[in-house]
Amino acid sequence: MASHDALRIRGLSKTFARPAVAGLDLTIGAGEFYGLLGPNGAGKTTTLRMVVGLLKPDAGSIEIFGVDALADPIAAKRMIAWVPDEPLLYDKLTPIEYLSFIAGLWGMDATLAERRAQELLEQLDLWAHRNERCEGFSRGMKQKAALAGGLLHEPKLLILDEPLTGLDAAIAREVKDILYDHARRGCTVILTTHLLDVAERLVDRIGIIQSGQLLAQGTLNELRLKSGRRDSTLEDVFLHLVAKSEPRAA
Amino acid sequence: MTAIGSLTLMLHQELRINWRMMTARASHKAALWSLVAFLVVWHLVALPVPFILSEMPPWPRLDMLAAMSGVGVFGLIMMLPFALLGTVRLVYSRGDMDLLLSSPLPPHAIIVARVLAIAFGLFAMAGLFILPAANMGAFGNPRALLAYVALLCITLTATALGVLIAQGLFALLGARRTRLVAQIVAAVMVVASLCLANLHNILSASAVEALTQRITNLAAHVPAVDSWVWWPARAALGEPLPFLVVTSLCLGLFLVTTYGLASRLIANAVAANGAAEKTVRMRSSSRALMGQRGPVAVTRRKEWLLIGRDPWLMTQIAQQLLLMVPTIFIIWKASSLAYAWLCVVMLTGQLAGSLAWLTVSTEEAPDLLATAPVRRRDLLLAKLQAALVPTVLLMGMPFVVAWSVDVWLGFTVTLCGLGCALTTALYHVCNPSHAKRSDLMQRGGSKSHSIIELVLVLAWVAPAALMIMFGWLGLPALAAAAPIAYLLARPRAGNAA
Repeated sequence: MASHDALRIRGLSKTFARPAVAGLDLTIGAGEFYGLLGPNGAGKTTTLRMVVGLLKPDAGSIEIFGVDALADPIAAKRMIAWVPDEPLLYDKLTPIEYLSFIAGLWGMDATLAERRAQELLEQLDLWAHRNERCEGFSRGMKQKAALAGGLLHEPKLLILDEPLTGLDAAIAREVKDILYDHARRGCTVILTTHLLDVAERLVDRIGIIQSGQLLAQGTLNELRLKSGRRDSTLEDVFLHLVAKSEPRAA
Repeated sequence: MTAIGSLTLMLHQELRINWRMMTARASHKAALWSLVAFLVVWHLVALPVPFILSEMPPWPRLDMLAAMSGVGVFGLIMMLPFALLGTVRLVYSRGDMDLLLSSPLPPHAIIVARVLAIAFGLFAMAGLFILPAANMGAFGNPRALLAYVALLCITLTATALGVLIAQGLFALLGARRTRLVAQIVAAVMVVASLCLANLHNILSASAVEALTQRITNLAAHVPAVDSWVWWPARAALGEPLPFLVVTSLCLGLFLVTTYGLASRLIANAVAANGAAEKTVRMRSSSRALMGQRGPVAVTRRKEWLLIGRDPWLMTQIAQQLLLMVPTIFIIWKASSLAYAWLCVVMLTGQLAGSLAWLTVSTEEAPDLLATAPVRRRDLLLAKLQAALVPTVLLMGMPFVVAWSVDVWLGFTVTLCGLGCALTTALYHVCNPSHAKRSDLMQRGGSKSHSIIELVLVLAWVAPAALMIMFGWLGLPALAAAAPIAYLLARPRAGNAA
């Protein structure tokens, strides 16, 4: 069986009042931990929402592990999990009910789903709270429950939009460990974040997007070379590349 | 800032927020012009009032005092549920209490301003209908303008009583249960006052006659014109001493209640916030969903769990249905029992519409469903089923009773009721609008949703009435109504499923 890239985007465009994504080309290999960075309004979230099927692109193509996500969205969605910054939860359901619901949506075997739900809730320190309604949870607990929902069906491509927003240091560390662990086990992870130090330590490759176009991508060292700043932090590299491209973007 | 300055600032803020909530779906200018147009029309309607007042006797008679007192008490009863709900909402629903209580404003000023805003809202709502008549009446008798003071006294009293009842419920039941119980109490009050207002339509002729006789007998024991019982009515007529005493009492009751209970209301607001965050532990229920096979079953079950776990929503729906009770009696009395069954058709449609609106428009995680590998039509089918199954179960008994009364009646009520339920539910499922669950009664403030739902209900009630009236000859009306209802219910452009 031919091996496919986890995500292959060609000429992707979306315009609202102004172009949000403008002819974006992006390829992310299977098993990569990829960080999509960019200033506010750069088009990161719009791009990811098109990938997961929440927005219809004006033009372009999206392939997920060789499946045309626009022609066969159901097949593509089977392989994806989407975890945005606002947890996709139901306040009146308990975490175990929430996970059961997700298992039903993804058509998982009930016994497998039950075992996996227990593993994830234990791993995320939510097992003791499994029969409590989510309405009483802190933001961190909600985010962890949502992450458990994303990981339950063992997606091949996990997409996270600002997953660490509003989390305290301990919970953020737990989430990062879990993401890293999944990436090491072969799951492709794409995340957007404004926490550049997190991206610097966590991801394999970084893509910097501005005005809906890919400005630069590569490992941190490749980006350093491209920006001509050999010993800089990702923050320096990012700010330099974004500032350099601003006249062009304008 | 001085206490008066704080109060003025808060009151201005409250009134601005209330006005913006009222006019959320229209521009400021359009809302203002609508209000002006309404007032002009209502003043025109009140044109004959000066002539009626000019024919009234100069000195109060017992029957006039009794009628005025009755109207005042009825107004008070009508306002009371709204004052109660307003107070409960003040404590629970506004998320800015933490901000306000952490500000350097005196806490009493915050509470007094919010309670004053409730009183002002009641005054404005009742005044829109009553005060144009007072304005026009002033041309015949300037004392008609005393209606302003009378209405103010009634609204202040109703608000003070609403605060007292709310505080009583908090003390008795605690922060978690008060909102639910207040909703039930308010619903019962509204239905009771509507039934009271329509008593002559609801009761049979003999019962009305017996009641009239009893009232006539009671008239012998009614206090004389100079009794203190009639002081509120005499105050409304502008007699100096009753006017002074009654207005002082109403104002005093309002101030004592509001200032006296301000600290407790603040404590309740804090407790209510804590209650919302309190952990609710459920029995182990993963099987409830795990046992369901497939996305349709699991989504349907999820909707039922969410609806069943929100008792406040259930009371809202029950209130909507209870409001139909006086209508049933009125139709029964005005025509025959057979036509009262039309209300079952309406109830079925309204119930299905409410449930469908809840399942679709208040979906908490739409992005989760949109990213799941499930066809959209399967999800919508699940939501349609989630709305229709409880509707059929709840309305099944009235359907069975209708069949047992008369086969044709049973057939008509069941067919039109189910058709009505299907199309109203289909409309909401195919035309979702994102809203909060607390906006159930106003369908998220969408006038088009409310109007189309009403039209859909009428599209099934009309053929049902013709079928009851003309038997099978009414079937062509049903054949014409059904496609119209479907056309209304199908997805609009941009909302395609």
